[in-house]
Amino acid sequence: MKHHATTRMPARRPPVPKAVMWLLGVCLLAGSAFAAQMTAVLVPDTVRAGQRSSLEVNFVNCQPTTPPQLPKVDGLSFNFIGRSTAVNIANGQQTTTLTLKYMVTPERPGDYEIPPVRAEVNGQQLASSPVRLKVLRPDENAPAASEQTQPAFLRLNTAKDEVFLGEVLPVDVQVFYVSAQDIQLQPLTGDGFTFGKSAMLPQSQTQVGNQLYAVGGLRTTAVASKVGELTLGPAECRLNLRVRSERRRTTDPFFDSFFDDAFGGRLELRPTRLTSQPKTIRVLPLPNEGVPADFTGAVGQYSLLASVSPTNVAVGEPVTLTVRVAGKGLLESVKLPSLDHWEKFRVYPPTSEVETADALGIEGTKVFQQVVVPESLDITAIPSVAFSFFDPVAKAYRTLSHPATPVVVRPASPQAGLQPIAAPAGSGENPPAAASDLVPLKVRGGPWAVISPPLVQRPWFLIVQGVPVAAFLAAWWWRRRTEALARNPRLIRRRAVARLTREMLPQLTRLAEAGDSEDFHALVFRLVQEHIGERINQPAASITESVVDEQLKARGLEPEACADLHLLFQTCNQARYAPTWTRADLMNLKAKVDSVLPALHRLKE
Amino acid sequence: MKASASPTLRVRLVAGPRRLGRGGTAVVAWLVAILLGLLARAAEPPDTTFDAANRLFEQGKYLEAVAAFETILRSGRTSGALYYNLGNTYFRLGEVGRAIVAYRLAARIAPRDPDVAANLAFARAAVPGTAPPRQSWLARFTGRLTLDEWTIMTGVSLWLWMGILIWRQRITGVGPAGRRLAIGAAGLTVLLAGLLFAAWVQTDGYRSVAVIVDDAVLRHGPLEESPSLQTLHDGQELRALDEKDGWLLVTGAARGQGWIKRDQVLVVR
Repeated sequence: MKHHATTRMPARRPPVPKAVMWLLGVCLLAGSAFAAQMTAVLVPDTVRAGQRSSLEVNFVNCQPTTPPQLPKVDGLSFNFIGRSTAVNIANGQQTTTLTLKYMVTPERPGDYEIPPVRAEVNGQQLASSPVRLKVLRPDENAPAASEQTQPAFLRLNTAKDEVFLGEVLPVDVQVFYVSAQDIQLQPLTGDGFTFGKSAMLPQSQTQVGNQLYAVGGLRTTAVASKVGELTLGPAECRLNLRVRSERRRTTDPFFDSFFDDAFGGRLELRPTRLTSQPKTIRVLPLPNEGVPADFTGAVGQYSLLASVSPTNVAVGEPVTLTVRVAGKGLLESVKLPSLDHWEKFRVYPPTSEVETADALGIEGTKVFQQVVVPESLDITAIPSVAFSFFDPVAKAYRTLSHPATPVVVRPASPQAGLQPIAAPAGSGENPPAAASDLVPLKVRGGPWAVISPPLVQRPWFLIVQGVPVAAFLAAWWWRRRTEALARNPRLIRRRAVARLTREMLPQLTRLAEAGDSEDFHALVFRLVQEHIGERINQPAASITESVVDEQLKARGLEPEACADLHLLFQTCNQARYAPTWTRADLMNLKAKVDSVLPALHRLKE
Repeated sequence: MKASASPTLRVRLVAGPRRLGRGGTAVVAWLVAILLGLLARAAEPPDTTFDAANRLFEQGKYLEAVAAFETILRSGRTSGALYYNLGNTYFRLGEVGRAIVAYRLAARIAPRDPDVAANLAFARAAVPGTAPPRQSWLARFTGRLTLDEWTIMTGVSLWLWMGILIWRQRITGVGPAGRRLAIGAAGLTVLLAGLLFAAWVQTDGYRSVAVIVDDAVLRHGPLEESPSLQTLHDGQELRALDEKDGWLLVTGAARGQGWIKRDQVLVVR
């Protein structure tokens, strides 16, 4: 018989040296910044005799320095299978989990408790919580006869059928199939139950009767919210079964036989809806006897750790009490007992955060940050902190406590006056807040603001931020321009001559109109020298009339301009000795200057 | 002179609206309305209404107190204390989701107010079966200042950086000290801009919502006929990812993503 199991078997990998694996683990854990945790999980926690389970020892944000010490359990044997590392980054926080897997082989049916697994981490001894393994007899919970003949069926398994109110009950929904795809498990339902997170079960194979099935599914948690006989499920699943279709037979028996043998027939997908048997769970109330006074409803197995910081404060200064409740249970609903009875302390409501260590969120730590403010100099210690819970395994209430922590309370500084605590702004007349109620109203409403978008979304603000950027770009451009000019003296001279011309031409007109012949000719002479000197790149003082024929003609100066230049040089020379020029003469010369200068400007450098 | 000036003035006054035309008249009316609105605001300070709302709260008239607080909000004025008191009033009315939204808005205006943080934690603790939303260290850090405070710090740093760069352009021979100064200012500006972006993402980038009705049903799809995924309590905080036909796709519930009716949640904005 051929089986078309869709479960992909893990490929064999080449052996990796242990040292490399340890080094990799150390490197991955180096970036982690969270508290180290160690947990142990059995997958699955219920097997039949002859089957095996897997013990997964998880090190969250830590690395054991030596291999963990597995306890000896009569009737169970452990074999190391391998290790894996997972890095999870959520909300910018990195969690690294190193998992060591051991195969657990039971020798006989029964209920086993595997004591805490211990390991040394950074010189500190860590221990996991104990876990339980249930080994059924081979015929116990055997598949129904109908299941053995089905291509797929669904099972709803719970670790136990009797739970306490508020106890977390792990629930497995397992889908068994020969060959299928598009498996969609519907959310589990159950009146009176609240369901938690879910995680996929690892794929495996198992034999039921004479049939080999692929097994998948999910594990979730259910918490009963009322007492009595409650019905869990049924679970539902939709999937497409791969089944052999009935092929039209040909008239050739040889061909039919060959086709079926060679290709195994044609497969088709058949949409199928599976339903499991519902499960009846008996929910017991919490015992009324021996209820601790500070019991707040926590059900599970927990440990308590507390710390106080700082331990040396002035009256009115806050002290943070950090309480870590670690363990297994509905961590999100764990509450600290009220501290209202603390005298001479002002107590604020605590803040809390859950750090889960497993995919279902039922194992981990809940960290409370409780701010208390000593209001008297008589205080010498932060009182002890107690936490009570109901242990469903021991079926009894338990109370954990952290002893009182000595603190030094100094007098407040003179600036603080005699008030025990600095009142928050705007609530100066309010009475002290109590953790059991809201902090009262504020009596002052201000400072008032007009409802408007934040600054970063207002156009005017963004434009204002562009001003320094624009100023910098302008300064940068100016600097580049200045440096370019400094590297080009001819350009500087050309600009200087142009500026000189702009200044001198009006002056020349004024001198001509005034009939000041001497200054007029001196100015004309200098103007012409400066222009020609700039054009042929020679000092202005060295320019004489001879330059006109020697250099300017060769550079292509028009003949009329050359003649005008000769005239101007000669006139300027004559004027030194015969300064008798009329206003009209000077105006004529000014016209010559006006025509010569553009011609010089057109000359090649 | 007086005799000739008066008729001219009269003519201008009479002819003014005619020259403006219909559009111009509308603009003038609009400006006058704004001016009157501003005058009205100045004439009726929000503190008066605020005190009256507080008095109603103390008398146990919570619905009237909510109306009075919201009157101030409708007038365009806001403050951390206003949202804080509004949160207290909603909480007394048993509307935990609305109270949480009000406290979160108060925390945006007054992020370092211990009373706001205390009452927000208290309100969150009153939501059954849920844990307060986890915040990354970056969110906690950026949450210590308001978005405007981060914006101003970044703006000042930018001006400082540009000022140093301009100074370096104008002054020659500044040397490596000026270069180091400019690099330091650039690094500070980039760092602050990054933190500003993170703060903006935390406040406006994510569309946070809170459930405001009891037993709101989270569904697989945006239809009444879609299978139920989970029942949510009043006050449960979620994050909206998408919106379609009056339904919001939200995440953050214990069972992952699902669709919830838009009118069953309030957006923190």
